[in-house]
Amino acid sequence: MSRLTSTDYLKKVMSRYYTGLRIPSPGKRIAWVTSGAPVEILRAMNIQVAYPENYAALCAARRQSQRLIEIAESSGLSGDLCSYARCHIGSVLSPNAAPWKGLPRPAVLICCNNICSTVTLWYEYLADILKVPLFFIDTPRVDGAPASHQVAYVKRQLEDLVCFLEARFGRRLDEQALKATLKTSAQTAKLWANIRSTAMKRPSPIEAPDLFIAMAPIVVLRGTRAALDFYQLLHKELLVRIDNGVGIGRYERVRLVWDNIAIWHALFRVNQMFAAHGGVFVADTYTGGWTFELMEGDPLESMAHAYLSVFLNKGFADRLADLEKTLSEYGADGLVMHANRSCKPYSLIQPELAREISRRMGLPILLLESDMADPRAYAEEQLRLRIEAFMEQLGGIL
Amino acid sequence: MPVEHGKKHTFVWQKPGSGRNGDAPSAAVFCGEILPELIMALGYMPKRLFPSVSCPDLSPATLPPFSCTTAKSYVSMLLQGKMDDVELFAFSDTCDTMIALHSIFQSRGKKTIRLASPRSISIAASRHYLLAEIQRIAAIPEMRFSEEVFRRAASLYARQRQLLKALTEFRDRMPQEVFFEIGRYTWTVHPEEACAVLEDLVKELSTSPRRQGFRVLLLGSCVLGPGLFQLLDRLKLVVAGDNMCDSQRIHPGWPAAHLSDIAALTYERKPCPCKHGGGAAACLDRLLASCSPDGVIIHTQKFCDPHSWDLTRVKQQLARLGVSYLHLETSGEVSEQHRLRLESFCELLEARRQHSGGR
Repeated sequence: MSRLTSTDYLKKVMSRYYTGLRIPSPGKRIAWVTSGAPVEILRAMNIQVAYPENYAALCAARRQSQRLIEIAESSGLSGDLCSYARCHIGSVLSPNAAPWKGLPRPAVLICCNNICSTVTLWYEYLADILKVPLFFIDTPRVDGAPASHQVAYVKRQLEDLVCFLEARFGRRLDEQALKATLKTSAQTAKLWANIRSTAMKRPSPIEAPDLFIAMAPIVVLRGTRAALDFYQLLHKELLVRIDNGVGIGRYERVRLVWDNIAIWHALFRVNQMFAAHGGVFVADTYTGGWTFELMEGDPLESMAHAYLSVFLNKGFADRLADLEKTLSEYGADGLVMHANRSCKPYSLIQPELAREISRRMGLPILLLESDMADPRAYAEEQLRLRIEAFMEQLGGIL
Repeated sequence: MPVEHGKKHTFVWQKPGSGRNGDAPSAAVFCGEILPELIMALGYMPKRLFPSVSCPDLSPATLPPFSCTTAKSYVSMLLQGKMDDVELFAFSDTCDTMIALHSIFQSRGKKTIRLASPRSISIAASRHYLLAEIQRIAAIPEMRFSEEVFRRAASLYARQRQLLKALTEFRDRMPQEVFFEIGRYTWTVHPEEACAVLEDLVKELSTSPRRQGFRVLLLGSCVLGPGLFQLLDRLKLVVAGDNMCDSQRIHPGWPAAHLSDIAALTYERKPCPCKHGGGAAACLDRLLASCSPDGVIIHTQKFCDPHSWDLTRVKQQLARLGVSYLHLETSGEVSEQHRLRLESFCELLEARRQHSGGR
């Protein structure tokens, strides 16, 4: 399998980010934010941001999540709640048990519920145990394009967020700095969309596990030069691969699309089970969540529009249309849906999406039940059997 | 006897025609956050939909196994054709499961409306937003919104809520199973019919004696059937109040004259754990003060995220106040294991009473 050389640069970027968070400096303030929070405002105000979701995913990828999850559960949290939340809360309750002793303590918490309802409850819990102020941004779910009253509601909250941060940190928001950050953010999101699109080529120059790893900067460094530089490098590398007709380095017999968050603690093991049968994940639905467009004009209105339109904040018809488009554009032979016990907004409508996709496109679909960060919900042999049966079915069809 | 009122009505879906507004097409309302007066003003007969124990689980092909039983029950009812007579399904964006249910019903070709309600209820902007959202629903072209019907319905439902409030005052004078059934019955029939039953009951109960036993406050997720309440009756636990999804988390009992009043009414409900900034802790303090319970029973339904999160906060608050509590997690219905835990809880309350000299 040919390795992407830009991965080395990614490691440096992420290492610098996590190290930078830990280095104390005068006046440095950290905000913990959700992955769908309008972070450009904070960046423009020079506030450092840390992402509990990304941290939990990292812990899971390093196979260090289970211990933290058990710590959270022993404090009384239900084992049925989001494993990102349980893992991160475990790191807050027992920093000594956590990689890098957890995330550095925040001065504020910024929660935006455009990705799920759980983050609201998770951040309320954090605010309570850490005694840190929480700013909540409510993004009502949209069907199609956001309605004008929804944009106005979110814009108003963003204005309040600016006031909150200015009062809290004694800094003014510089509108030019915000515009510059938004411009970088928009360029990065566009580049990320282009990177994902390269996989439409045959053979595909990149596969979903690479995308899952490469998505970290678009989440945690959105709006920064570091993220933009990395994606320029990665994009260039992929274009060279396409020009030379080079794929990911192994036979691409079956093109697959992955739906839902990765099983971080078994990302490559699960991928290998498909690869053994010539399966290549050319696309996924999750990493596409950060390809939103920022419009020209009033920055806060543009942000309100963009952050309302995050795919997990959209209705069934939009989700179905997006999925159908992805399957069709990437020439998918099959769809694999990860029924993720930790993510209800993603998972609860998957059987219904599968039914519709099957009816409209006649594609074989596999539903795999597991969990993104809790290894106890991962049954490898059961998964293997189901994957083998699915790939055999695909072999018969192709 | 109040018991008879409870026994002669069942809480399962009432077919159209059973209410006095039987000519209007039926609308199923999934959450107490949606005011029935709004649905009635749109030209429908609103009926609150409750999960049922009597429906076999047909959901596995439509919902993942880690969905709550309430959702499974609704989907099973849909797949079994138990709601074929319903013309409109009204949803509110409370939890992620409710949002998914809306998607499923919509995908199955059902006519739906969805109140994209605000999750934040601590800021002024959310009230303006909620009003705009209600106005959006009222202006949906195929709906026949009528101001006049709205005002009439608002007056009727306000009366119903006032009577339910009065009935709640007398809750410790009746079997809890009956209260449960009456609660469900009243939201599935026309408010005139509900008011007539409630008036009789309130009158009758006003002269009834209080039931003896430990007084408990109930909190948490909804239950599927009357099992928990039957068990409480058997163990002589008297429910002094509740804040449960399917029971007393209702709007206050004053009538809405305009659509803007609906937004105001919504904000005066007991806070649902899905909402941010609703003053849940203060609400629990008020409930404890008004009910003076000997203990608190917190019910969570398996896979109900909002109440499972809320559980930690509630437990901490009760522990700080020194209030005895019991947490029961069910799949909607109680089992033998829950009976044993409730019996132990009664013993604990008894020991506490003896320790405090019988007070």
